[in-house]
Amino acid sequence: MRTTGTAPRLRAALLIGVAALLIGALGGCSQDDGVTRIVFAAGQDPSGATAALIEEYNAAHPGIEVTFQVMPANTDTQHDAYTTYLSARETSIDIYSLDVIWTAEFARAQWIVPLPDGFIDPDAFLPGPMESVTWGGTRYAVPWFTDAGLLYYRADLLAEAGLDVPETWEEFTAACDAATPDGGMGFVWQGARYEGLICNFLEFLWGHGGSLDRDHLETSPDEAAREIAGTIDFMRSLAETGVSPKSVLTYKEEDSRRIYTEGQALFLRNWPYVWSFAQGDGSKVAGNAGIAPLPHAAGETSYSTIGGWNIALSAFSDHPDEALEFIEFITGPHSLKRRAIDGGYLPTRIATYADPDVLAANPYYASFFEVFQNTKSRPRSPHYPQLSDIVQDRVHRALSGEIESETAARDIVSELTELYAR
Amino acid sequence: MDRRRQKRLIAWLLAPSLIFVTVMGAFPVLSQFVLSFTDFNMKFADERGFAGLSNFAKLAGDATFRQDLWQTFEFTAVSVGLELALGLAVALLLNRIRRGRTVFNTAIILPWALPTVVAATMWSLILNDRVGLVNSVLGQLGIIEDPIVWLGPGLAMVSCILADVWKTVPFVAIILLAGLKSIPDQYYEAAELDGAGRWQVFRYVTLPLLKPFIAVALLFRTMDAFRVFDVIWVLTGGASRTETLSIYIYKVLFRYSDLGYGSAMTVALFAIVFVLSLILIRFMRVSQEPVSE
Repeated sequence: MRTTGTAPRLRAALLIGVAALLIGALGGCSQDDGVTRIVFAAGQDPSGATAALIEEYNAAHPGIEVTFQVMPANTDTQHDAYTTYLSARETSIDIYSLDVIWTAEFARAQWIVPLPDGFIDPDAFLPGPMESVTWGGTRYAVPWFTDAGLLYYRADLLAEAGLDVPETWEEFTAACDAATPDGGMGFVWQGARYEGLICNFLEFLWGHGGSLDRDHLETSPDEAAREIAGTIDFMRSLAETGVSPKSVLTYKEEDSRRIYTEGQALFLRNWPYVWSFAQGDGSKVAGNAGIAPLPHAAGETSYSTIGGWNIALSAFSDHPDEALEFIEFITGPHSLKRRAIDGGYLPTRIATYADPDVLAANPYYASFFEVFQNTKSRPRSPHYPQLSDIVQDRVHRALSGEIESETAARDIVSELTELYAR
Repeated sequence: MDRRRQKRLIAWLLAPSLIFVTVMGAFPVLSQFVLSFTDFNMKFADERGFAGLSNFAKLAGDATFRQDLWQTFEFTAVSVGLELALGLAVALLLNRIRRGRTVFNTAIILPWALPTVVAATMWSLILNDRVGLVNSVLGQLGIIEDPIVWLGPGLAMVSCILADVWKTVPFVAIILLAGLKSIPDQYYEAAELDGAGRWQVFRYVTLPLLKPFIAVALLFRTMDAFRVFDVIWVLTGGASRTETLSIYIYKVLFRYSDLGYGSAMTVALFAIVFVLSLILIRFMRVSQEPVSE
């Protein structure tokens, strides 16, 4: 270190370097060309219908440019990405598409804002989706597309055995005994520990007259626990009596769907998307698949868990007016019709089910519409992810024989009551 | 004058890395510590407040935490044990190979080079009860009649450990192979002259001299295994008694946005891993002392 001046020169170089980094970080700010940019975040749409609609919208609105930000296909991953953005008050996304189970959480966190009065006509939409956009009496989102659990059956096998489509669980298990294909399975559903399990479990529970509603758990906890334990016992008996395979506890939608479309199962509980698979190339049940409401216990009613997605305005949007205008378009009759025809997304508007073009493209929508009259929501809570994990965990453990069904039921009642009150 | 300049230059040169380490290392750890005493939930950011020790009290009574901690220990102990045993066996074999060593070394390192998520996804296909390779081979050999549900209740943890062992045996083997190479031939020759048998050579020459390397492998693997996330996340999602602390913490921090409680769990995990590595480092020091006798 004899040469003087090295240090100052080095220091200058360092300073320039740091300055360059800072300037780089500050770069990429807004361009001011009079165009309002709106970003719409939603899951992937492989059919391209959404992208086409956005293009159509942009072409008709020269001052607005909407971009489609494609989110991860996995719902939980999408949820965790959204909560990360929104807790950092991210402004770059104006519009979010939200799973029906997220409304309470996002509304309570004040991440999404109430819709202006009169923004939507509640009577134009199916009741289930309409309920899902409401939290504390306020509407926070517009229903976009819907989903509900269905029973898929093999019409050929039932006809061979001379049986009708079963309505009660007694008829159902009898049908499984009589008509299960050789070497195949009676009934496949989604028993893995994930969001799908709570959907399946609730349908079993509702069909046995039970419920996880806050009022019910608070006013009659013992009765609620008995219903839950009874439902778990029933689900367990399906695997124990061979109606369902033991591996059903590892099945998600696609695992069970494949078994059915390979012709290996008599019955399948799944979402409407399976229909086009069942009729498509490579399906061994094309022409023999049928759909019906899920079975229920004698004297009870059948209910389907409602799924689907809604569209909400971010509380941190810089352009709420323009964003609302786009929401009106993407949830409007024209968009729902295009997405139903091109992408097979089930519309939330009642009128779309009567549209001749939609029915021509999807003749089976008429029978879906019937099932959609008897849907229920999963429990509604700002703490939904915890709530769902508790139910999934206890039900799965009880089904695996790790814990007694009574223990699982008591845990579910007490922990959910605590979460509801929080 | 020059000295002072030099010192200043050193300070300037060190500054970026010091700042980097502080910002990237110490800050998150400290803020995690601070957060663990709050009830901060990112969803309800306006309602945060000081929570005292309540998060830690909750932790002490949390049955899921206890069970996951036990499962984490179980996973760590069994998988690291198997990895060391198999890794040593592979290293001993590789050390004896004289021809085609490069080919074998490359082949053996392959699982380690795969990203864990890819390896785990591969295993989830291999172990699939209906279309998986394992069940179809066992079925064709007539060993099993009904498919085994590898990823379901009962066998899920075994399958996760299997996938982890498959992936990390190479890592242990390579470390131990380096150790074996560092043992001078004279020791073996001397032992042979003294008439030591194969087992005696292994027991009294190879093993003691390999101990520092075993300790390094043990330390790395234990700390890694204790924080396991990806293998289990892909194979079971934590179902059927396979949930580890990292998975639970992920859920609390990212799914529930509960920074307060999640941080308390992180602090606890940090403390456990810290104590665990202290014990292992002690073991390493002991093992580095010259072999007597």
